[in-house]
Amino acid sequence: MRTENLITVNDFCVYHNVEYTFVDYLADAGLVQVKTVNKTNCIPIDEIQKLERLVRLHNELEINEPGIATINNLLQKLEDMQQEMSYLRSRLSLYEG
Amino acid sequence: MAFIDYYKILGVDKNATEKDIKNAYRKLARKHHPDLNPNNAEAEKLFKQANEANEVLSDPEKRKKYDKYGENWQHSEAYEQQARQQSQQRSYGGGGQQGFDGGFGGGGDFSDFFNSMFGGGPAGGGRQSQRYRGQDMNAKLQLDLRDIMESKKQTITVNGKNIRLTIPAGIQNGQTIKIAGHGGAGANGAPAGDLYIEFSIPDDAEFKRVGNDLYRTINLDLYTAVLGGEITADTLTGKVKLKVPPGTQNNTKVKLKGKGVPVYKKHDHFGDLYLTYNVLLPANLTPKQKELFEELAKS
Repeated sequence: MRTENLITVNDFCVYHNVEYTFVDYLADAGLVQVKTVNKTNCIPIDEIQKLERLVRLHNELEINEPGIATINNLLQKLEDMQQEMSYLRSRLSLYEG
Repeated sequence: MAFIDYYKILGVDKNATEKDIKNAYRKLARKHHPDLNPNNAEAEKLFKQANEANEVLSDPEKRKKYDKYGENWQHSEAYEQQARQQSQQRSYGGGGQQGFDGGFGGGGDFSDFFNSMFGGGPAGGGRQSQRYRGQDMNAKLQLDLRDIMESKKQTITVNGKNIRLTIPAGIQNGQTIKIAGHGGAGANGAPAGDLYIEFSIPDDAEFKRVGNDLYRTINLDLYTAVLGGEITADTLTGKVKLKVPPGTQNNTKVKLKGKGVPVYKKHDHFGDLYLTYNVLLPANLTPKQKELFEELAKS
Protein backbone atom coordinates (compact mmCIF):
# COMPACT_ATOMS: atom_id res chain seq x y z
CA MET A 1 0.00 0.00 0.00
CA ARG A 2 1.30 3.46 -0.86
CA THR A 3 1.94 5.61 2.18
CA GLU A 4 0.07 8.61 0.70
CA ASN A 5 -3.13 6.62 1.17
CA LEU A 6 -2.59 6.50 4.92
CA ILE A 7 -3.08 8.96 7.76
CA THR A 8 -1.25 8.41 11.01
CA VAL A 9 -3.43 7.61 14.00
CA ASN A 10 -1.65 10.38 15.86
CA ASP A 11 -2.56 13.02 13.25
CA PHE A 12 -6.14 11.83 13.19
CA CYS A 13 -6.42 12.02 16.98
CA VAL A 14 -4.95 15.52 17.15
CA TYR A 15 -7.20 16.77 14.35
CA HIS A 16 -10.38 15.33 15.84
CA ASN A 17 -9.39 15.82 19.46
CA VAL A 18 -9.86 12.17 20.43
CA GLU A 19 -7.67 9.95 22.55
CA TYR A 20 -5.32 7.47 20.98
CA THR A 21 -6.90 4.70 23.06
CA PHE A 22 -10.26 5.43 21.44
CA VAL A 23 -8.95 4.50 17.98
CA ASP A 24 -7.10 1.56 19.55
CA TYR A 25 -10.34 0.25 21.02
CA LEU A 26 -12.19 0.56 17.71
CA ALA A 27 -9.35 -1.25 15.92
CA ASP A 28 -9.33 -4.05 18.52
CA ALA A 29 -13.11 -4.37 18.16
CA GLY A 30 -12.66 -4.71 14.38
CA LEU A 31 -14.61 -1.54 13.64
CA VAL A 32 -11.75 0.14 11.80
CA GLN A 33 -8.62 -1.09 10.15
CA VAL A 34 -5.28 0.17 11.40
CA LYS A 35 -2.06 -0.62 9.55
CA THR A 36 1.46 -0.40 10.88
CA VAL A 37 3.97 1.18 8.49
CA ASN A 38 7.52 1.81 9.70
CA LYS A 39 6.39 1.15 13.28
CA THR A 40 3.73 3.90 12.97
CA ASN A 41 0.05 3.10 13.25
CA CYS A 42 -1.87 4.45 10.29
CA ILE A 43 -5.45 4.53 9.06
CA PRO A 44 -6.18 3.86 5.37
CA ILE A 45 -8.03 6.87 3.92
CA ASP A 46 -10.98 4.77 2.83
CA GLU A 47 -11.57 4.01 6.53
CA ILE A 48 -11.65 7.68 7.52
CA GLN A 49 -15.29 8.32 6.66
CA LYS A 50 -16.39 5.41 8.87
CA LEU A 51 -14.03 6.45 11.66
CA GLU A 52 -15.23 10.06 11.56
CA ARG A 53 -18.81 8.87 11.97
CA LEU A 54 -17.78 6.89 15.06
CA VAL A 55 -15.92 9.91 16.43
CA ARG A 56 -19.04 12.05 16.01
CA LEU A 57 -21.10 9.51 17.93
CA HIS A 58 -18.49 9.55 20.68
CA ASN A 59 -18.03 13.33 20.87
CA GLU A 60 -21.47 14.64 20.10
CA LEU A 61 -23.61 12.03 21.82
CA GLU A 62 -21.20 11.04 24.59
CA ILE A 63 -21.45 7.39 23.68
CA ASN A 64 -18.73 5.18 25.06
CA GLU A 65 -16.73 2.65 23.05
CA PRO A 66 -18.88 -0.45 23.75
CA GLY A 67 -21.98 1.63 22.91
CA ILE A 68 -20.42 2.66 19.62
CA ALA A 69 -19.65 -0.95 18.75
CA THR A 70 -23.28 -1.90 19.45
CA ILE A 71 -24.70 1.02 17.46
CA ASN A 72 -22.39 0.31 14.56
CA ASN A 73 -23.49 -3.30 14.52
CA LEU A 74 -27.19 -2.33 14.56
CA LEU A 75 -26.71 0.32 11.87
CA GLN A 76 -25.01 -2.25 9.67
CA LYS A 77 -27.92 -4.64 10.14
CA LEU A 78 -30.36 -1.82 9.36
CA GLU A 79 -28.49 -0.95 6.17
CA ASP A 80 -28.40 -4.61 5.10
CA MET A 81 -32.13 -4.93 5.68
CA GLN A 82 -32.85 -1.71 3.77
CA GLN A 83 -30.83 -2.99 0.84
CA GLU A 84 -32.60 -6.33 0.95
CA MET A 85 -35.97 -4.61 1.12
CA SER A 86 -35.07 -2.44 -1.86
CA TYR A 87 -33.97 -5.52 -3.81
CA LEU A 88 -37.16 -7.41 -2.93
CA ARG A 89 -39.30 -4.40 -3.91
CA SER A 90 -37.61 -4.36 -7.31
CA ARG A 91 -38.23 -8.09 -7.69
CA LEU A 92 -41.87 -7.65 -6.70
CA SER A 93 -42.35 -4.88 -9.24
CA LEU A 94 -41.36 -7.35 -11.97
CA TYR A 95 -44.39 -9.48 -11.13
CA GLU A 96 -46.75 -6.60 -10.50
CA GLY A 97 -46.03 -5.27 -13.98
CA MET B 1 -40.64 34.59 10.72
CA ALA B 2 -42.49 32.81 13.53
CA PHE B 3 -41.66 32.58 17.21
CA ILE B 4 -40.06 29.24 18.13
CA ASP B 5 -40.91 27.66 21.44
CA TYR B 6 -37.58 26.12 22.44
CA TYR B 7 -39.01 24.68 25.65
CA LYS B 8 -41.62 22.83 23.65
CA ILE B 9 -38.97 21.50 21.25
CA LEU B 10 -36.97 20.04 24.14
CA GLY B 11 -40.14 18.94 25.94
CA VAL B 12 -39.28 20.76 29.19
CA ASP B 13 -41.13 23.44 31.16
CA LYS B 14 -39.96 27.00 31.72
CA ASN B 15 -38.62 26.19 35.18
CA ALA B 16 -36.37 23.40 33.87
CA THR B 17 -32.91 23.29 35.41
CA GLU B 18 -29.72 23.18 33.36
CA LYS B 19 -29.55 19.48 34.09
CA ASP B 20 -33.13 18.93 32.84
CA ILE B 21 -32.28 20.79 29.64
CA LYS B 22 -29.07 18.87 29.12
CA ASN B 23 -30.85 15.55 29.65
CA ALA B 24 -33.74 16.47 27.35
CA TYR B 25 -31.34 17.59 24.62
CA ARG B 26 -29.20 14.48 24.99
CA LYS B 27 -32.28 12.29 24.66
CA LEU B 28 -33.43 14.05 21.47
CA ALA B 29 -29.92 14.21 20.00
CA ARG B 30 -29.48 10.46 20.45
CA LYS B 31 -32.84 9.86 18.83
CA HIS B 32 -32.45 12.14 15.82
CA HIS B 33 -28.68 12.32 15.23
CA PRO B 34 -28.04 12.17 11.45
CA ASP B 35 -25.43 9.43 11.88
CA LEU B 36 -28.07 7.25 13.47
CA ASN B 37 -30.67 8.15 10.85
CA PRO B 38 -28.86 8.14 7.52
CA ASN B 39 -30.79 9.71 4.61
CA ASN B 40 -33.62 10.76 6.92
CA ALA B 41 -34.36 14.42 6.26
CA GLU B 42 -37.05 14.59 8.95
CA ALA B 43 -34.64 13.33 11.63
CA GLU B 44 -32.02 15.84 10.47
CA LYS B 45 -34.57 18.65 10.77
CA LEU B 46 -35.56 17.58 14.30
CA PHE B 47 -31.90 17.27 15.28
CA LYS B 48 -31.19 20.81 14.09
CA GLN B 49 -34.23 22.11 16.00
CA ALA B 50 -33.03 20.39 19.17
CA ASN B 51 -29.52 21.79 18.62
CA GLU B 52 -30.86 25.29 18.28
CA ALA B 53 -33.09 24.96 21.35
CA ASN B 54 -30.13 23.65 23.34
CA GLU B 55 -27.90 26.45 22.09
CA VAL B 56 -30.31 28.98 23.56
CA LEU B 57 -31.53 27.27 26.71
CA SER B 58 -28.16 25.91 27.85
CA ASP B 59 -26.59 29.38 27.69
CA PRO B 60 -27.76 31.39 30.74
CA GLU B 61 -27.49 34.75 28.94
CA LYS B 62 -29.34 33.61 25.84
CA ARG B 63 -31.98 31.90 27.92
CA LYS B 64 -32.45 35.04 29.99
CA LYS B 65 -32.99 37.12 26.88
CA TYR B 66 -35.27 34.53 25.33
CA ASP B 67 -37.35 34.28 28.52
CA LYS B 68 -37.52 38.03 28.89
CA TYR B 69 -38.95 38.80 25.49
CA GLY B 70 -40.62 35.54 24.51
CA GLU B 71 -43.15 36.20 21.79
CA ASN B 72 -42.20 39.91 21.76
CA TRP B 73 -38.75 38.96 20.49
CA GLN B 74 -39.14 41.24 17.47
CA HIS B 75 -38.85 44.27 19.75
CA SER B 76 -36.07 42.83 21.86
CA GLU B 77 -33.31 44.84 20.19
CA ALA B 78 -35.15 48.13 20.75
CA TYR B 79 -35.77 47.28 24.41
CA GLU B 80 -32.15 46.28 24.86
CA GLN B 81 -30.92 49.54 23.40
CA GLN B 82 -33.19 51.53 25.66
CA ALA B 83 -32.03 49.59 28.69
CA ARG B 84 -28.39 50.13 27.75
CA GLN B 85 -28.89 53.86 27.43
CA GLN B 86 -30.54 53.98 30.83
CA SER B 87 -28.06 51.91 32.75
CA GLN B 88 -24.92 52.62 30.71
CA GLN B 89 -24.00 49.02 31.31
CA ARG B 90 -23.34 46.22 28.96
CA SER B 91 -26.10 43.71 28.90
CA TYR B 92 -24.19 40.58 28.11
CA GLY B 93 -21.33 38.73 29.71
CA GLY B 94 -19.63 35.61 28.46
CA GLY B 95 -21.56 32.54 29.36
CA GLY B 96 -19.99 29.13 29.12
CA GLN B 97 -21.38 26.38 26.97
CA GLN B 98 -23.27 23.76 28.88
CA GLY B 99 -23.83 20.23 27.75
CA PHE B 100 -22.13 19.00 24.66
CA ASP B 101 -21.36 20.73 21.39
CA GLY B 102 -23.94 20.77 18.68
CA GLY B 103 -21.24 20.01 16.21
CA PHE B 104 -22.95 18.04 13.47
CA GLY B 105 -23.59 20.57 10.77
CA GLY B 106 -24.59 22.98 13.47
CA GLY B 107 -22.56 26.08 12.78
CA GLY B 108 -24.43 28.81 10.96
CA ASP B 109 -27.39 26.54 10.36
CA PHE B 110 -29.86 28.00 12.80
CA SER B 111 -33.29 29.43 12.05
CA ASP B 112 -34.00 33.01 11.00
CA PHE B 113 -35.67 33.45 14.38
CA PHE B 114 -32.42 32.52 16.16
CA ASN B 115 -30.30 34.75 13.94
CA SER B 116 -32.67 37.64 14.38
CA MET B 117 -32.69 37.36 18.16
CA PHE B 118 -29.09 36.39 18.85
CA GLY B 119 -27.36 37.84 15.82
CA GLY B 120 -25.95 34.94 13.90
CA GLY B 121 -24.62 31.48 14.54
CA PRO B 122 -23.51 29.90 17.75
CA ALA B 123 -20.35 31.95 18.00
CA GLY B 124 -22.43 35.15 18.33
CA GLY B 125 -24.02 36.69 21.40
CA GLY B 126 -20.78 37.41 23.24
CA ARG B 127 -19.95 33.81 23.94
CA GLN B 128 -16.51 32.32 23.74
CA SER B 129 -15.66 31.33 20.13
CA GLN B 130 -15.88 27.65 19.40
CA ARG B 131 -14.85 25.44 16.54
CA TYR B 132 -17.79 24.32 14.47
CA ARG B 133 -17.42 21.90 11.66
CA GLY B 134 -18.89 23.23 8.40
CA GLN B 135 -22.33 22.26 7.33
CA ASP B 136 -22.74 19.07 5.33
CA MET B 137 -24.31 19.68 1.95
CA ASN B 138 -26.43 17.47 -0.25
CA ALA B 139 -26.70 17.36 -4.02
CA LYS B 140 -28.55 15.11 -6.43
CA LEU B 141 -27.18 13.84 -9.70
CA GLN B 142 -29.29 12.07 -12.28
CA LEU B 143 -27.70 9.42 -14.45
CA ASP B 144 -28.94 7.22 -17.23
CA LEU B 145 -28.74 3.46 -16.73
CA ARG B 146 -26.41 3.38 -19.72
CA ASP B 147 -24.08 5.87 -17.96
CA ILE B 148 -23.23 3.47 -15.19
CA MET B 149 -21.90 0.62 -17.30
CA GLU B 150 -18.39 2.04 -16.94
CA SER B 151 -16.69 4.15 -14.29
CA LYS B 152 -16.50 7.70 -15.50
CA LYS B 153 -15.04 11.00 -14.44
CA GLN B 154 -17.39 13.94 -14.26
CA THR B 155 -17.09 17.54 -13.16
CA ILE B 156 -20.02 18.99 -11.28
CA THR B 157 -20.57 22.52 -10.07
CA VAL B 158 -21.81 22.98 -6.51
CA ASN B 159 -22.17 26.52 -5.13
CA GLY B 160 -19.95 27.88 -7.88
CA LYS B 161 -17.14 25.41 -7.19
CA ASN B 162 -16.16 22.79 -9.76
CA ILE B 163 -15.71 19.36 -8.24
CA ARG B 164 -14.20 16.55 -10.21
CA LEU B 165 -15.41 13.12 -9.19
CA THR B 166 -15.20 9.57 -10.40
CA ILE B 167 -18.53 7.78 -10.55
CA PRO B 168 -17.89 4.07 -10.07
CA ALA B 169 -19.58 1.71 -12.51
CA GLY B 170 -22.62 -0.08 -11.12
CA ILE B 171 -23.70 2.63 -8.72
CA GLN B 172 -27.24 2.05 -7.45
CA ASN B 173 -30.27 4.28 -7.70
CA GLY B 174 -30.49 6.26 -4.44
CA GLN B 175 -26.88 5.52 -3.47
CA THR B 176 -24.98 8.39 -1.89
CA ILE B 177 -21.28 9.08 -2.09
CA LYS B 178 -19.40 11.48 0.15
CA ILE B 179 -16.92 14.04 -1.10
CA ALA B 180 -15.03 14.92 2.05
CA GLY B 181 -14.33 18.56 2.77
CA HIS B 182 -16.50 19.99 -0.02
CA GLY B 183 -19.41 21.08 2.20
CA GLY B 184 -19.79 24.41 3.98
CA ALA B 185 -16.71 26.11 5.43
CA GLY B 186 -15.95 25.48 9.11
CA ALA B 187 -15.98 28.22 11.73
CA ASN B 188 -12.91 29.28 13.71
CA GLY B 189 -10.54 26.91 11.96
CA ALA B 190 -12.77 23.84 12.18
CA PRO B 191 -12.84 21.50 9.18
CA ALA B 192 -15.26 22.06 6.31
CA GLY B 193 -18.34 19.87 6.08
CA ASP B 194 -18.77 17.14 3.51
CA LEU B 195 -20.71 17.03 0.29
CA TYR B 196 -23.09 14.11 -0.14
CA ILE B 197 -24.14 13.33 -3.69
CA GLU B 198 -27.19 11.15 -4.14
CA PHE B 199 -27.49 9.40 -7.47
CA SER B 200 -30.83 9.04 -9.15
CA ILE B 201 -31.03 6.48 -11.94
CA PRO B 202 -34.54 6.41 -13.42
CA ASP B 203 -35.92 3.22 -14.93
CA ASP B 204 -34.82 2.62 -18.51
CA ALA B 205 -37.51 2.25 -21.18
CA GLU B 206 -36.13 -1.11 -22.33
CA PHE B 207 -34.10 -2.56 -19.48
CA LYS B 208 -35.35 -3.08 -15.98
CA ARG B 209 -32.70 -3.27 -13.29
CA VAL B 210 -32.96 -5.46 -10.20
CA GLY B 211 -29.76 -5.30 -8.18
CA ASN B 212 -27.06 -5.99 -10.73
CA ASP B 213 -29.30 -7.99 -13.04
CA LEU B 214 -31.18 -6.63 -16.01
CA TYR B 215 -34.52 -7.78 -17.40
CA ARG B 216 -35.79 -7.12 -20.89
CA THR B 217 -38.67 -8.39 -23.00
CA ILE B 218 -38.01 -8.89 -26.70
CA ASN B 219 -40.42 -9.72 -29.46
CA LEU B 220 -40.05 -12.96 -31.39
CA ASP B 221 -41.97 -13.66 -34.56
CA LEU B 222 -44.14 -16.76 -34.63
CA TYR B 223 -42.18 -18.49 -37.38
CA THR B 224 -38.83 -18.23 -35.54
CA ALA B 225 -40.51 -19.39 -32.33
CA VAL B 226 -42.04 -22.41 -34.06
CA LEU B 227 -39.25 -23.35 -36.43
CA GLY B 228 -36.23 -22.04 -34.51
CA GLY B 229 -33.60 -19.69 -35.88
CA GLU B 230 -31.14 -16.98 -35.01
CA ILE B 231 -31.90 -13.50 -33.75
CA THR B 232 -29.88 -10.46 -32.74
CA ALA B 233 -30.68 -8.83 -29.41
CA ASP B 234 -29.47 -5.52 -27.97
CA THR B 235 -27.74 -5.51 -24.59
CA LEU B 236 -26.32 -2.50 -22.78
CA THR B 237 -22.86 -3.49 -24.00
CA GLY B 238 -23.70 -4.18 -27.64
CA LYS B 239 -25.57 -6.63 -29.80
CA VAL B 240 -25.52 -10.40 -29.24
CA LYS B 241 -26.59 -13.24 -31.51
CA LEU B 242 -28.90 -15.83 -30.00
CA LYS B 243 -30.03 -19.21 -31.18
CA VAL B 244 -33.75 -19.78 -30.74
CA PRO B 245 -34.61 -23.47 -30.46
CA PRO B 246 -37.65 -24.76 -32.42
CA GLY B 247 -40.86 -24.78 -30.40
CA THR B 248 -39.93 -21.85 -28.17
CA GLN B 249 -42.92 -20.90 -26.03
CA ASN B 250 -44.19 -17.41 -25.28
CA ASN B 251 -42.66 -15.96 -22.07
CA THR B 252 -39.61 -18.23 -22.28
CA LYS B 253 -36.73 -16.69 -20.29
CA VAL B 254 -33.12 -16.76 -21.45
CA LYS B 255 -30.21 -15.84 -19.18
CA LEU B 256 -27.21 -14.06 -20.66
CA LYS B 257 -24.51 -14.45 -18.08
CA GLY B 258 -22.39 -11.38 -17.37
CA LYS B 259 -24.49 -9.06 -19.56
CA GLY B 260 -26.01 -7.20 -16.63
CA VAL B 261 -24.74 -4.19 -14.71
CA PRO B 262 -21.14 -4.11 -13.38
CA VAL B 263 -20.97 -4.96 -9.68
CA TYR B 264 -20.15 -1.79 -7.71
CA LYS B 265 -16.42 -1.54 -6.99
CA LYS B 266 -15.79 -5.17 -8.01
CA HIS B 267 -13.69 -5.17 -11.09
CA ASP B 268 -14.77 -7.66 -13.78
CA HIS B 269 -17.88 -8.76 -11.91
CA PHE B 270 -21.19 -8.32 -13.68
CA GLY B 271 -24.82 -9.21 -13.14
CA ASP B 272 -26.82 -11.15 -15.71
CA LEU B 273 -29.32 -10.17 -18.38
CA TYR B 274 -32.63 -12.04 -18.52
CA LEU B 275 -34.51 -11.89 -21.80
CA THR B 276 -38.16 -12.84 -21.98
CA TYR B 277 -39.51 -13.79 -25.40
CA ASN B 278 -42.79 -12.25 -26.37
CA VAL B 279 -44.03 -14.33 -29.30
CA LEU B 280 -45.93 -12.16 -31.77
CA LEU B 281 -48.84 -13.69 -33.63
CA PRO B 282 -49.24 -12.52 -37.24
CA ALA B 283 -52.09 -10.05 -37.78
CA ASN B 284 -53.88 -9.10 -41.04
CA LEU B 285 -53.38 -12.47 -42.71
CA THR B 286 -53.60 -12.62 -46.49
CA PRO B 287 -56.16 -15.12 -47.87
CA LYS B 288 -53.29 -17.45 -48.80
CA GLN B 289 -51.81 -17.32 -45.26
CA LYS B 290 -55.23 -17.92 -43.77
CA GLU B 291 -55.67 -20.94 -45.99
CA LEU B 292 -52.30 -22.33 -44.93
CA PHE B 293 -53.16 -21.84 -41.23
CA GLU B 294 -56.45 -23.64 -41.77
CA GLU B 295 -54.58 -26.51 -43.33
CA LEU B 296 -52.23 -26.57 -40.39
CA ALA B 297 -55.15 -26.61 -37.99
CA LYS B 298 -56.63 -29.64 -39.76
CA SER B 299 -53.37 -31.58 -39.82
